Amino acid sequence: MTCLRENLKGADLLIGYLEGTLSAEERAELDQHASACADCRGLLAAQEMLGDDEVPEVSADFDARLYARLQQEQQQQWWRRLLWRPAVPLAAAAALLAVTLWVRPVAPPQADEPKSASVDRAEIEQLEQALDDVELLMPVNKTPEVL
Amino acid sequence: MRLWRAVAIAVGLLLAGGLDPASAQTPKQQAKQAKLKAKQLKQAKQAAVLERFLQMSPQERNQALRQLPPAQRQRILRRLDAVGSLSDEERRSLRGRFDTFLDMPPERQPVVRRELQQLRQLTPEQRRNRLASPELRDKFSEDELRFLSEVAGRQE
Repeated sequence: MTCLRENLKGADLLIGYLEGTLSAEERAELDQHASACADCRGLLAAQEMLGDDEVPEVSADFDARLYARLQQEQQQQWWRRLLWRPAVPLAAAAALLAVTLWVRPVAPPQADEPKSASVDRAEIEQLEQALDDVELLMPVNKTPEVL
Repeated sequence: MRLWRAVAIAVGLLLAGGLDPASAQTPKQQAKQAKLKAKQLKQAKQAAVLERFLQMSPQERNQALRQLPPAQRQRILRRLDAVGSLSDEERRSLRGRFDTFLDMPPERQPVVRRELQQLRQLTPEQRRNRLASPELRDKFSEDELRFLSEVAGRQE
């Protein structure tokens, strides 16, 4: 018999040995090997010590409560997991901006708004240059200096 | 089918561009041409802005110039009022002279403008003498002299 750690059925043999489900022949073979193999002897002794510990009784609905708790945890934490992904906050910000721009009311053009409201600095300069030329072409008695 | 037609049109336009006389110009000539067009565009904008202001009511002009310092605003308003106070015929005539001036080659406009400024400083008699002087005949073309005489004559 090979060592339990190297045997493909080592785990099954170990469990069967501890639970007492091995055949007499298998059990005798394992005992014989363990008497000569310190590694397997230590493994069996350690497992037997663990088996001696008292296992508390679980309630009848333990499984049901366990799965319900797991499901609850998963439902509570999906958004936390999402927030850790760096793309999600960026996408959320972009979506918020898009919604803001889309929702923002566009001010309707006011009927009484003067057409002059959009005059900028460049247009003022253009106006003054045009006036310079026009005044040169005006009759002297009609120029602003005279008026 | 539509795609092929679009491609054919695009190729045709490209070929037409290649045959454009402008493409035969030297880079210096092309730059000069571009500068000329830019100048003409600028002057067209000036004329359009002036026309727009002349069509405004006094309240609209005030509103349009509200961001200017008071002194500058008042000066522009006074100048606009002066043009606005012209009779319809005077305005038509002024518009015609303005257009003639803008139609002059850009390099000649400053020369004509300077001469007009000088003529405005003279008495009517001095203007007549100046317009008849050999100096001006050497300096300006027949069309330019005619324009100067017309404008200076109206200034008497």
